[in-house]
Amino acid sequence: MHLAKRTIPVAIAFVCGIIQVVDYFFKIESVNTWAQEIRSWVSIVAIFALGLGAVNVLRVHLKKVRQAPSESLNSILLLITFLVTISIGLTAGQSSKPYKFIFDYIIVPTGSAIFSLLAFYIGTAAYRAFRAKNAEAAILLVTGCIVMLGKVPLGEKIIPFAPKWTTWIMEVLNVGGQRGVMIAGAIGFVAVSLRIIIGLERRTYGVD
Amino acid sequence: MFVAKRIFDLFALLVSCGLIGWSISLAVRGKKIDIRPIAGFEAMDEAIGRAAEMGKPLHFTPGFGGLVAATFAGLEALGYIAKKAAEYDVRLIVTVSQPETYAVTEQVERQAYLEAGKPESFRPEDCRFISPDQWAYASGVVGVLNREKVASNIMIGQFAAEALILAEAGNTVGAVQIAGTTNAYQIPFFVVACDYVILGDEMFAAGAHFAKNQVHLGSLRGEDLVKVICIGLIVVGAILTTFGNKTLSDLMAK
Repeated sequence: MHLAKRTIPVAIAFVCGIIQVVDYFFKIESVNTWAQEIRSWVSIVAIFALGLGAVNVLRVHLKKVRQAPSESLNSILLLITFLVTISIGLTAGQSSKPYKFIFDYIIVPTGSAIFSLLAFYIGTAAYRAFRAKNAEAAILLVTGCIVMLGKVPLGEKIIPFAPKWTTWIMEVLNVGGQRGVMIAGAIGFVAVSLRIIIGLERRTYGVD
Repeated sequence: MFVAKRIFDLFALLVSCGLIGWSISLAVRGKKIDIRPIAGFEAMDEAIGRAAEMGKPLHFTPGFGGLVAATFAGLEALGYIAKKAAEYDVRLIVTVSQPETYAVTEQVERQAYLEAGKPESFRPEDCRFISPDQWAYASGVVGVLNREKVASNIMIGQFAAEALILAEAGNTVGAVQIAGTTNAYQIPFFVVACDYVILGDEMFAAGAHFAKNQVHLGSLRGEDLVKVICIGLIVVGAILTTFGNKTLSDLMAK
């Protein structure tokens, strides 16, 4: 059990991890080929995992439909569209007209609709954030107002220095802060990756 | 033999791994390492307790990312949350975007229920794979938050543009929200929409904070040592560049 659940996964992670690191830094033809091969395998393994995900979707929504059919309209619709899309994809192929229709006229527009909600959510979040409850919130409010005015043509007419200040805020303060987060995050990534490769990240392997 | 302009990167990686590995070995051999309290982690019990008191579910998502370091940090937190949820009989709903993350997430959750001594309480249908499509995932999670009327919403992992949509949906249902990501562009959204935010690399302290795991404590110490070196390089680099000396920047470009 220990061998299957821990030793073999750790060995695979170690070998694959080291090959990827060597591939990034060195020009060794055999290692570069293996690394490319491993990256292809990632897609293959993900496909198997996608099958697990599809089973989960079916299990969750079939259970809902069984338990309360009258309240499960969304689940019924999901199951129908799920089966229709899979059937068309498997029988007619992904280049077929019906499949393209689903993609171009259903998936893309609904995705864009959800994305567009972001504009309204930014408004509501900004409304809550821009309340000068304390010194930090007041600084945020003032900075936010300068940046907003500096980004629209009308802003320069209201406050002439707004575009110049906006550039400074975005390119000095903002970039400085973001780089701090990025550098610290990257160091964290290195630490987690190291722990996974040498088998110290137990939860990754489902054991504790 | 070396890929051009990656020699310094390799040196930096080796030094980082060496320092982290050395710190882990010190911690495992018993060196005492203290960590500062992190508000987001301290509030986890409050979020779980709130769900228990209200008799409503608790929601967790490790975000839109695949199996990247930030997702693993989220799963580390999930292990603790799931264990506590099992102990307090709180219904935990976990939503996942990527298929490979789903497989690992379910395993982590199952293991946590086992550790809590309540494997029978684990409901596989509450660990939900939503969709690998970003906006389908976002709308799926918003739907779960609204339909299930969650008491607490915890989002720790890799998030992209969907971050604010999820956070605002949680805010709308009145959930206590704890969020954490290393994506610098999404942190401001979490800051304005959530009650507690775990900023950037603080996420990687989850294992050290919850389990007081010596490996994680040592790793954190190693990360801090690397950060000190980075700060030193930034200061020295800024001074040298100010006076027109490009030695350090040329060295780092090799």
